[in-house]
Amino acid sequence: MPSESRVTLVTLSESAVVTLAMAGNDAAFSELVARRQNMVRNLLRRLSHDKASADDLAQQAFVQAWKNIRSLRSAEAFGGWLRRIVVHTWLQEARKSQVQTVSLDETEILPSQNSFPGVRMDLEQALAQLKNPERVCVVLSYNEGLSHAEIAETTGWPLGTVKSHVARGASRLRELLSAYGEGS
Amino acid sequence: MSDDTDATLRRVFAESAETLDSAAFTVEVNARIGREKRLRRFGLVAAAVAAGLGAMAAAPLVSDTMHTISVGSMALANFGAGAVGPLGWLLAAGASVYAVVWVRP
Repeated sequence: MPSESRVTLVTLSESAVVTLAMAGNDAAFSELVARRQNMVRNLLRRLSHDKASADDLAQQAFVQAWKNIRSLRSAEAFGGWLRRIVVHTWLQEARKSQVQTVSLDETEILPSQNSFPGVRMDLEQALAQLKNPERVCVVLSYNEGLSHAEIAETTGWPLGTVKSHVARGASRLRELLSAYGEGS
Repeated sequence: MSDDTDATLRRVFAESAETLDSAAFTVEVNARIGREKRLRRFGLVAAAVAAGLGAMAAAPLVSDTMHTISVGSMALANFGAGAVGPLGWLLAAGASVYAVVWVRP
């Protein structure tokens, strides 16, 4: 991609860049990847157990977005639309590989290790204990700041189901994090 | 759950967020998109080749059918035009059926 067009794209608003990408401009789509990778990769790192598979899924999600961007209704809806693709990419992968959460009985909760900032390690390990639906709902609620209705729209699950997943998941996460706090 | 607990969980998530912004990631996504494009082009070429081969394979059959219909039409024209009355039309129809069913190139 020529650096001149990249400089031009950087100055444009996101909806303008999305409109260009919807018209088939690959440089514009690349700019969207640069702008949104932080959100997408962070979200998938909360959902996945390891960083490598999270980044792999993030790339798959962006390729899906590139394939379907012409079906996007409006440029302003890009953020929510991309988040839906990310969540569904992860759910599909979780179903495929039958990702099983490790129960507390099977593993010892480790205190923070030196190679990671403590709070990040604690959160990763605590999230790994939650069931997949609870993890998705908790992450979308507390990491992304979505309302229950927005989570229901993103996941395609009924509102009541989302509410109970958030309540159960958050309660469990709180217990786990206080256990880490006592252990470290 | 209380607002305090909610706020605490939000803070834990916010504190653990990383800044993930690398050019290498964008390059990798672009490479995957490039592979998708090549696959798509290959699919289009394969479909075009398959359509061409299908047309070539069907050509003799189409030609045979068209020949039969044209023979039948000619028979109908010859007998029908010359005949006057129901017997003439009956003869024309019989000849047409004969031409379509039994006459082959």
